[in-house]
Amino acid sequence: MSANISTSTIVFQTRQLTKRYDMGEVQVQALRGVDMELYSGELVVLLGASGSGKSTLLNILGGLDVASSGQVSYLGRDLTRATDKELTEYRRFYVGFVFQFYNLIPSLTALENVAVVTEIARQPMQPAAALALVGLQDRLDHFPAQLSGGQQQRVAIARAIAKIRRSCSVTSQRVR
Amino acid sequence: MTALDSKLWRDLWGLRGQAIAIALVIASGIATFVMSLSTLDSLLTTQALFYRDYYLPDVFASLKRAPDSLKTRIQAIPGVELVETRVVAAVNLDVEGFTDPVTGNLVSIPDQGDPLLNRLHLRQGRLIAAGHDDEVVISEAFAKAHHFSPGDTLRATIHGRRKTLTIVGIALSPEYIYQISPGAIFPDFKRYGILWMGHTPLATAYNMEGAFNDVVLTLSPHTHVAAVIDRLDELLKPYGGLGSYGREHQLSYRYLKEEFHQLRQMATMFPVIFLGVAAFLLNVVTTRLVSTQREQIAALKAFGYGQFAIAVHYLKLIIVIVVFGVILGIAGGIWLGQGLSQLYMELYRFPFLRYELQPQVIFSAMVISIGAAMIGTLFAVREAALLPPAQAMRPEPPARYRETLLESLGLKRYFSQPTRMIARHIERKPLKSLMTILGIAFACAIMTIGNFQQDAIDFMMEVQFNLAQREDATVTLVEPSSYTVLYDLQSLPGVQFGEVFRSVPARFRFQQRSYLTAVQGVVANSELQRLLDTQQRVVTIPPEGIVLTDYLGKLLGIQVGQLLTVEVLEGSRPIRQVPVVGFISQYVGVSGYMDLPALNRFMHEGEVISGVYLTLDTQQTEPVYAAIKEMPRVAGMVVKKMLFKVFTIPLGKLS
Repeated sequence: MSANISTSTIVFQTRQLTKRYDMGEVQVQALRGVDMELYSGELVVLLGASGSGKSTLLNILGGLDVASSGQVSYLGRDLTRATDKELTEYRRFYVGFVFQFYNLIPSLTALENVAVVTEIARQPMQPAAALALVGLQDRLDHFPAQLSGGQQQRVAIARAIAKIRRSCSVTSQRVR
Repeated sequence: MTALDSKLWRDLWGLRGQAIAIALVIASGIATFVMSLSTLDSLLTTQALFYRDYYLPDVFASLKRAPDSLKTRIQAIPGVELVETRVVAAVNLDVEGFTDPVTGNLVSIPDQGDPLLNRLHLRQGRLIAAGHDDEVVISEAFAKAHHFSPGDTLRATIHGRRKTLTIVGIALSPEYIYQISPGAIFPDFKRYGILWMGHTPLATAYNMEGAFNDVVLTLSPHTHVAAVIDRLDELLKPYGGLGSYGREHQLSYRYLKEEFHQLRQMATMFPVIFLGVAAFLLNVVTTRLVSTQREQIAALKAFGYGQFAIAVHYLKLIIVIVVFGVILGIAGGIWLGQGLSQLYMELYRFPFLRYELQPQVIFSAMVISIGAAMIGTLFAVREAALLPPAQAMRPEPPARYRETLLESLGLKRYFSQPTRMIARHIERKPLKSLMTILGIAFACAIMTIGNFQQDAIDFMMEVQFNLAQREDATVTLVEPSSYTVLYDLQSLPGVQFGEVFRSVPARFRFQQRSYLTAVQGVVANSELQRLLDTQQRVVTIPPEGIVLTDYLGKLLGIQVGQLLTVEVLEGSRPIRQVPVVGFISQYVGVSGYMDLPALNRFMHEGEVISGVYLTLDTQQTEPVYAAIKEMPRVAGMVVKKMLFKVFTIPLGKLS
């Protein structure tokens, strides 16, 4: 984990964060007591072997999953105690995701894939503008199946940046 | 349109084959529902209007003969509003170019003007005119069957006398919405008709001058019908009253009521099956859809769509399919309902039909289908809504399987790999497997119901007309007579065998229950009228006691060995208690059976018969029919073959 020390505000803070998965007969310990702080304006790269818990940590930071124990806060708000509804709102207004496999909705065009996010966000960008930012202004009406892997990835990035005009936090995962 | 709604429509387009199939199943259920209920409502409204506007009486009574002066005493019964006395007579008819026996019912109407009750709705021509004693108005069904129009003539044998009648009008009556000859099980408009004739000429022809043999009355609102019936029976007793009855026992009214009951059943049974299948199919489709869209659902959740939004999204998809099915079903139901109502109108001879589609029927159709769909898809939608996004983001873990019960019992080595896969798959999701079995069962049920009904009718016909009633024709006499009629009939060329019977109208009473029917006197070891038990074995009637049809036994709540009170409504009207000695199974008709000599003794009469069953030489039926028509003592003749034939003709072709 690399951290760019800055004097600006702490965005994420975790304390003794653990995550266990119960896989039937087997129990998998994905995170063991993670302590970290992430600051505003910081670019953080998380590296690790497969199965080391990168996705798990990002899922918890992004409000997609909840920790088994420990604490995680976003701008001082305790995410570990948030209800399902609060987590949904958190994801809707503060988090942008670029998924490992993009998770584009195959029945929607590039523009609509971005609109799915902007339609429920506060003060979002225009979907077309977000796509222009990633150089896809000519592919607005293409369905995912008509786009290359790289183009699909760019749609996923446009989708993540479109909802937040003043970027608060973008969690992204891409492991190959 | 939101992007999510765009997804919905495109998903639907992708599923269009399955969606249309499910919508069609829903449409079938809803169409049956709307068809049955709208037809029922239409018939109920039409019936009520027809009864009201054309004055269907509240109480009906037949008797042997009473002087006209009795009318004022009937009028004086408290609660009685309108009274009409009539002469009603069975008649044998001769229709030119039609050799089969034709019988009819002649009903008197005032010599001029409309009857007070059972008013006629004229379809063609006019009512009879005073002073023309050969004029008749005939029922529309009969007229249509023979293409009669005003001006045509018919020959009739009334009370042994021949008369030529001129048709002046064709009409409908609320009393004969369902027109069926006594003893028949299905209407035969070619061989049975209703004729209305002026009171004076009919009374003259029937030796009923200054007298009547039928009376109908209406009651003021809130009158106790049973009390009036008791008083009327008391009044008519000395005049050979055959027992009065209210609307619920009137033939036409009763048939309609039965028909309404069947429609109501149809409105429940078929939609339940169809909607059950639809719910199951929706469950399969939605479960599969949610499973294939796991990652999309996860993404949507990651973007901030809540559980409710996800649930609504999938519910919308289901509702679109259901609403499409319901709209199609309602439209189909209205179309079928109108067709069915039209068919009923033909069969029942309503003068008009008010097709009625009540808003609550449509509302119920909507609620029931959406309800069924929601129940069917509840689990799948819930699963979608509650899907944890982080978990859904990962590819679905391999499903958990275990060795099946059969395998753990040591039978594993007998199973090939594919068999193991099948067995484990079935056992892994027992509920799903059960639902699949249920779905297939419902599908089979739909197929079976249709075939079963036809088979049931065929079986009923076979038992009734081949095993029990083995005669070719039944001749009924004007009055109970001696055995000489049998000898006369047997001497006709073409008659192979004859067997007498006695039929006595009676009211059966047991405890507080009673039933108006007849006691049939049957000869010992009868060849032509065999009584059968539920296994179709012949039941012999003991020399004493009475045998009842099992249905009548249930109706009266009587057991073998108990005493049944039989109140005879003919002759010296004896009232006696007779032990019930057994039950027989009979699919058509409700009556009691006694040994013929025992019935004669019961009636304090000699060797008297009401009619004769005949078997005929198939090559010589026509001369037999012609000869029997000429016999003055014969009231009517029913040919079994004709009953059978009518029964197998589709309803729509009856008119």
